[in-house]
Amino acid sequence: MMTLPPLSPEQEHEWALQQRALDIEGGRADAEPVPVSYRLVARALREPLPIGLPAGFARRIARRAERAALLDARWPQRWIVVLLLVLSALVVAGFMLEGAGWLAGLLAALPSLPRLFNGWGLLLLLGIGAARWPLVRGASSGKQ
Amino acid sequence: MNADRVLVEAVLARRAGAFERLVAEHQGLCWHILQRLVRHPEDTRELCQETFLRVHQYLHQYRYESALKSWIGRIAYAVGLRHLEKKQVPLLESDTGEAADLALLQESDGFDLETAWADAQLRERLHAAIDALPPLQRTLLTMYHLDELAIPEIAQICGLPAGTIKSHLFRSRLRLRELLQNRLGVCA
Repeated sequence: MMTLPPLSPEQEHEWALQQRALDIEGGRADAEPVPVSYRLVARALREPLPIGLPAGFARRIARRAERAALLDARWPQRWIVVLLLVLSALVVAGFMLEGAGWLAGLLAALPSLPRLFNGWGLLLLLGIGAARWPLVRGASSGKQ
Repeated sequence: MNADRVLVEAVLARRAGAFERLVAEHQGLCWHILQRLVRHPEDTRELCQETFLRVHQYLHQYRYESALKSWIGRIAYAVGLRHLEKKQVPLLESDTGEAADLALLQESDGFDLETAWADAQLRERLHAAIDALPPLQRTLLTMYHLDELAIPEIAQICGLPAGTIKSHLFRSRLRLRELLQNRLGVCA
């Protein structure tokens, strides 16, 4: 339906008359004998459409498009916030469901802490304390 | 660098006022295409807005293979077509073979141009007849006559073969001529 066959020779002749009328009305050709009805058609078709563009259309559209583009650019930032919130919610849910088990495991590990104060652990703490001692003394004498 | 490229690059670089300039340059063609396709003023305004929002969104995909005017016109035409499909308005009448009676027409139709043009009622009828053409034909006529686009440019906008555009233009102008001749009673 959309594709039409080419014009016949008679129709091509009529087409030439239509084009001549268009050229005359467009000021691209001198007036010559062509059907007046074609000149009327060409003249009517060159008239502006009954409803024109609203005033300030270009400015309004430009503002709207720029605003829409800005919103588009904000989407990635919003996704990051949403993902962080989801992650935080998962962590909270994890603690609520498994927190008791994790706490029990932590408390079970606590009795082994005193072992730090024997042998190498105690030696390490004494070493650190000795190294820090002059600094601590200097700071306290400076304050006085 | 051609004017299209300068303008497109300015819009893509988000230079102040560039997109407004692009809209101002091409709004007339879009308005004509959409008004002729859908006719309803409010729909025309909304579809024209939609067209330029799409242009802004997809301008980075424009590859300079056709004039910017044709690329924007194609978007407007596609937006208008989709609207007509939604409203179930046919783009074209099923019978397009009305151009067979050429023998009835004469080269000279024997009335005075300026007298006929001064007849307000005749002009009104002529405009009503243009408006009553199927959406595709009245849109093609407006692009060809009012926007002065060449047939290959119209073919790019509508995605139809140039020969088909020519046939539609021919048939619709012939139909308008027949109407005028019947109205003025000078048909041979």
